[in-house]
Amino acid sequence: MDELEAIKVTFFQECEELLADLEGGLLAMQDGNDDGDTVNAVFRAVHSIKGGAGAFGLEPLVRFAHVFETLLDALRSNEIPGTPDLTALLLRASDVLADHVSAARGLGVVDMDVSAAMAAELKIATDPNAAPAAPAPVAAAPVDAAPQYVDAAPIVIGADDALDDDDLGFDFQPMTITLDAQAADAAVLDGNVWTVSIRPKSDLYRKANETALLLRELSRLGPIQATLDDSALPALEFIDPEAAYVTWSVRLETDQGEEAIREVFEFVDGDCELEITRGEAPAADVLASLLDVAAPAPELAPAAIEAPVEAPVVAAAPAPEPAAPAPVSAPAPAPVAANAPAAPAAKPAQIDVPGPGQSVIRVDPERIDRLIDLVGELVINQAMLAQRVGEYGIAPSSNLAMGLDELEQLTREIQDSVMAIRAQPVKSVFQRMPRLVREVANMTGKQARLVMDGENTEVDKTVIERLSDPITHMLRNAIDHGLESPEERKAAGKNPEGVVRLAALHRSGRIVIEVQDDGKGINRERVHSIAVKKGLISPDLQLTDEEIDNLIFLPGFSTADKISDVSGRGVGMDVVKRSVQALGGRISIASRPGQGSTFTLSLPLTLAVLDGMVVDVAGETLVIPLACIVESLRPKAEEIRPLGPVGSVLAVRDSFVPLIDVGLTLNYRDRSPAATEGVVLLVEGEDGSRAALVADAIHGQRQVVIKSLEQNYQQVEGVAAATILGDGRVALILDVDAVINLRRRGPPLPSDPTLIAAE
Amino acid sequence: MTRTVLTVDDSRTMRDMLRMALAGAGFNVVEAVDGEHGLEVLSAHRPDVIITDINMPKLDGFGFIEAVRVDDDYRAIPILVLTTESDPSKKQRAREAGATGWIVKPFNPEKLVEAIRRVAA
Amino acid sequence: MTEPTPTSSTETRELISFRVGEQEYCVDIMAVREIRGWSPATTLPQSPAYMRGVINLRGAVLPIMDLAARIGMPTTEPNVRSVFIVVQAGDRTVGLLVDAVSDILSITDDMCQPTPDIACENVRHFVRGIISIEGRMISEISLDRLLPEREALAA
Repeated sequence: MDELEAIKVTFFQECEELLADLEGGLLAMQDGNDDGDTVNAVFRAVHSIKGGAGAFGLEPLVRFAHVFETLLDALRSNEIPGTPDLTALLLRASDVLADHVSAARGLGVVDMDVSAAMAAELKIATDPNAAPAAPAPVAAAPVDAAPQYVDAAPIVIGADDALDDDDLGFDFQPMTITLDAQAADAAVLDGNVWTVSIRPKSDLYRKANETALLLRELSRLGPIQATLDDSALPALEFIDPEAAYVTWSVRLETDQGEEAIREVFEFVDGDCELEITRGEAPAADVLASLLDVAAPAPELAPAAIEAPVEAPVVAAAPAPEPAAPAPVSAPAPAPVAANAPAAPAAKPAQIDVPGPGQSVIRVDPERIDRLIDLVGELVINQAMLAQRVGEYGIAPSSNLAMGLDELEQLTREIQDSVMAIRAQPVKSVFQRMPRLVREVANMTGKQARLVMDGENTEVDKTVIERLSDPITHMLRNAIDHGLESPEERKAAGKNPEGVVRLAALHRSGRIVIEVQDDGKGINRERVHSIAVKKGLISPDLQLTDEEIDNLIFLPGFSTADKISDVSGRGVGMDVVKRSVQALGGRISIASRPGQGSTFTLSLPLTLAVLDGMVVDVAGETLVIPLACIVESLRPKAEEIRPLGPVGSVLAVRDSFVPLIDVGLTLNYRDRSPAATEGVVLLVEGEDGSRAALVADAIHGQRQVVIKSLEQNYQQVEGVAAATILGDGRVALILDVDAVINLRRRGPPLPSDPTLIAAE
Repeated sequence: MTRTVLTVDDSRTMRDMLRMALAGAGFNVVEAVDGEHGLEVLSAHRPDVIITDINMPKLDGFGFIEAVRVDDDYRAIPILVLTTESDPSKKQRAREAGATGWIVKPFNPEKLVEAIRRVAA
Repeated sequence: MTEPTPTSSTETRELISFRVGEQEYCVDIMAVREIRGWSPATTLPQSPAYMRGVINLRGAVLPIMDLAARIGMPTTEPNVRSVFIVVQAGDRTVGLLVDAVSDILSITDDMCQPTPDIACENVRHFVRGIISIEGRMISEISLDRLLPEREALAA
């Protein structure tokens, strides 16, 4: 990758972080933390985005960021007061800024009307007296042409100048320079000898500038001859080492104009008295005429500071002093060899430590993925080796067996460490949510405040990437269906602003995401009647409150009378549930009338490995995810009751659970052996329904590396994924829910005690 | 001899841009993420030239420059500040704090190297 | 990696030929990753009869397809001489179970004839052409059509 492109990637990564900081700061301000540090941090975030965008020539982004920054600058310098309304405006502006960043990145487009309107609002907030009628330049520029995010030349020198013209009304006139330049050109025609008189003030040295360096710079324009006038030098005992006493007079021969000479003194403007005259000797009239040319300068001075080349040197120059010494009269002529600059006061030692300021290593994620794959292979190989050794009947106390144990330990540790490298805090997903909540609340007329917890909870990258959609849906649902309107809330004696809490935590080796609202809770009667009306359940089915709540996950269920733009988007909770299940996760809802609902989503910490129970079914080895297994048992004959023509149920304590022969369901065999001859695994499906899976034998529990079937083949119903066992053979990982569903669909079971999902 | 330049900027993008321009011109580059960090790095690497941003957390550019200028060991190190054209007052404040010169953002790599050459011994 | 497109008649291509029952078939050598002896596969449930299952190929899960069954002939009973040819078909890698590998052929495209119309649907679908060489008739398999389209499962 091109180095600049790589920096651009960094820039957009940094933008993500800065946008998160920006939003975090604004939210803190919303909560009343508007101390100077917070406001400064908010300002810096926008400032840095603008700075980077300027370097890459991302014009529309720079323009918008500039207007935004100007307002924030006014806020932090207390020119305007901070108010809740202003913070709300800033939050909305941060959303627009985020859109600009995305657009600059090539992801999505900015609604330029929205951007222009926002820019106009920001300007009015910055300066209420600004004429709002004036067309917003931000709108004007990019509307006609699509924002030009084509790779512009990376370095745009004039970016800020253009901005100032358009946006700030800074009305400086670079014309003054043209005047100087013309004067300089004239000088060249006359001859190319100049006399430059430099009288440094002590400030020049205080800022680590050096006259020697100025002379060196002058010598780049042409041959110089420098003379030192030290007549002002006091006697040694009176010398202030920090003061400046000498005047240099330099004869310069150059074909460059005066502008080029002045540029040499750009950094010492004001820190030395400078006279530049054409010709050998500083004839007073020449100097006077030069000053004449620059006569209007005083009026332009404030603007001229802005000019890329510092014109005001002339304006600031003192009245022509006869003191300017003629070179001939210099008592101690000390011609300085132009190319031999004096040694600086303190020559810093060169230290060969190239270490950058940070101890963070950035690594291509693909390398880590590769490493994780390899460690997966190592785990499998180690297991294979252990199994072979076991087959040879080597005693567990032998050196070989003990060495293998250690190898296993190490392998497991390596695997954990490598997984930890790829683990990321859920923050990256969470930080997108405040904006979502604002937008959904706006759209639905609700007032909602998002409270987040556990943003630093870490989870494997493979899972992080899949969290965003379900969280988005749960939040939308919580605001759209959970929260009441402000009026309803007031009537119910609640704060008109509803609270939605998004939390992440680790629980028993899984990551749990909770979305909780303090709304009205699920209207169970209504949910039940809809489910009946849509034929999802039979009317006389008795359901617990919890079961009714979870009906909203049934395919084809949607409580919204019409598909609303917010929760709907053509996607129901059933789709969310299915996508969660595909990841080996589960989702459920609990609700209390009048007090709100809680969605709970749990997912494995990684999609790379899984804890499973290895079982035998009809000569095949299968892995059942441990997370689904409630218990394993050996059923007694009297606990098994036939139900209907083919089905049977297992009595587990005081409830009856359908018995499912895995071999039969997956078509490994035509008829099931007696359940009493096998082992029963009591499993729980994602909807909380239980089933008793019959297997022939259990081999024990094992962590397995998940392998995709889809990579080279396709999804197979009833199978979640594959893995490779210690003997080197592929074993399939059972999709418990799919097996339960297959059974329900399979040979008709009229008395199926649980819900009948509509197909 | 390779010259060492210390860049002090809280923006990773800016640090990377500076590094690219400077390393390309043969400078040894050391970096710091804010003024405080800058002072630490300063004592470890003794740079020939310092380039600093103004808006930074913890210790901003003005404070950083002042701190460098009151330290007898470092006061002679030239410091260039990164400024924008839109804020002449900042440039002025930076000069008062003791900045040797300035670089206008967005900068051009040649101008940057030119500015360093101008102030570096 | 896609299947090589037919080139001009003067360019030679190399093919690997193999036996399926009494017939000879071949695939372009560029698509062949390796040839392996038979090892038992893990059965895939809910799958067509021509899918023999999956095996572990150096850490990847490789589906094994019974080529005979795929083109509508009786299923192959694997024996010690059976092999599978690991081929690249589109973005997937798949093992083709065949009775035995015969040899490597160098052909030019003018030796390749279109599949006769009378052939059954299955054959026309999977055979991209027939090669006549030294009195043998060898059918070239169209690899990209062997695997079914990936489909998302209906709930």
